[in-house]
Amino acid sequence: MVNVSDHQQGAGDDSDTTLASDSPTDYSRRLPGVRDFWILIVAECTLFSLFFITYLVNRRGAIRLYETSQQALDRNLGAFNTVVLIVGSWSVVRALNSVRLDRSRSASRYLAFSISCGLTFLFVKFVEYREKFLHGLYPTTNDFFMFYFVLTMIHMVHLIVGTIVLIVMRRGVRNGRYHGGNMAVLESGAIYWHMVDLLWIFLFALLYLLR
Amino acid sequence: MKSVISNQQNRALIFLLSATAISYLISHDASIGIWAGIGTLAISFVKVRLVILDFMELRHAPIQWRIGFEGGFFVVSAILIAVYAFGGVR
Repeated sequence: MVNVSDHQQGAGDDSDTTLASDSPTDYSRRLPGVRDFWILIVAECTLFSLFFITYLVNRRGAIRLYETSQQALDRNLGAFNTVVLIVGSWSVVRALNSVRLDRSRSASRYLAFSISCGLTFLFVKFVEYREKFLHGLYPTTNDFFMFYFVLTMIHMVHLIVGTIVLIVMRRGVRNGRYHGGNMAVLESGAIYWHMVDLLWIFLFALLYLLR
Repeated sequence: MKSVISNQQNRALIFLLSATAISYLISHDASIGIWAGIGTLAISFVKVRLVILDFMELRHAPIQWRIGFEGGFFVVSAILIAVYAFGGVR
């Protein structure tokens, strides 16, 4: 197996370029993707972090209500979706490595797999929502379900955007638009996808697992 | 098999899946009480850190970005654990 880590570190620092991948001055450390895009990632993560803290603070006042309501969630489906997102993220990493090695067909297959992971997550989420609605559980039922529906729906919007980004990335890879020396846009799309995964890791713990 | 494990990102995948299984299992264990929740949140932080370092590729990023991102999530996780552990009456 070819080690691509050296290849990934090939381009420079982020001090005075818009595309972090372009500077040739620092060969030891490199910020992947478009540097300005990271501002969006930081903003999104900060916003979600505030949501997480708000959820737990509200939970303090009504722990019994939250724990009782939590019983209505399917932890197996939540765990399944967590695995789906993690494997999908790993596949995106493999796709980027393949592009760096100019293996566009392999990259396209990895991205197709990640897209299928995104669609699987959406399908499972719709199954979960349908089940809740059939049992008369809505965002207005109580505070727990308000948080559950609002947080997971905001996350789902991000996941839909991420899946569309992966589809666009795959089209670009298939058209030969990206290669080892032109990775910044591709890396930015991948970072967005990983952020969706990262946020779900906390959501799964807070909404499904915490007792 | 050896080549699969020698790849950092494959190791991250195996760790993330194992950590998900562990947090799923300990959350079912009522006998350890509040520690189940604290453990679940701590495992979530470790998982997120791994996603940041190995999937988002910040392991080789300029140190200020790496510290900023890791540090940010460390602070958020610490707040979540504190609010969970010291908040409310059961």
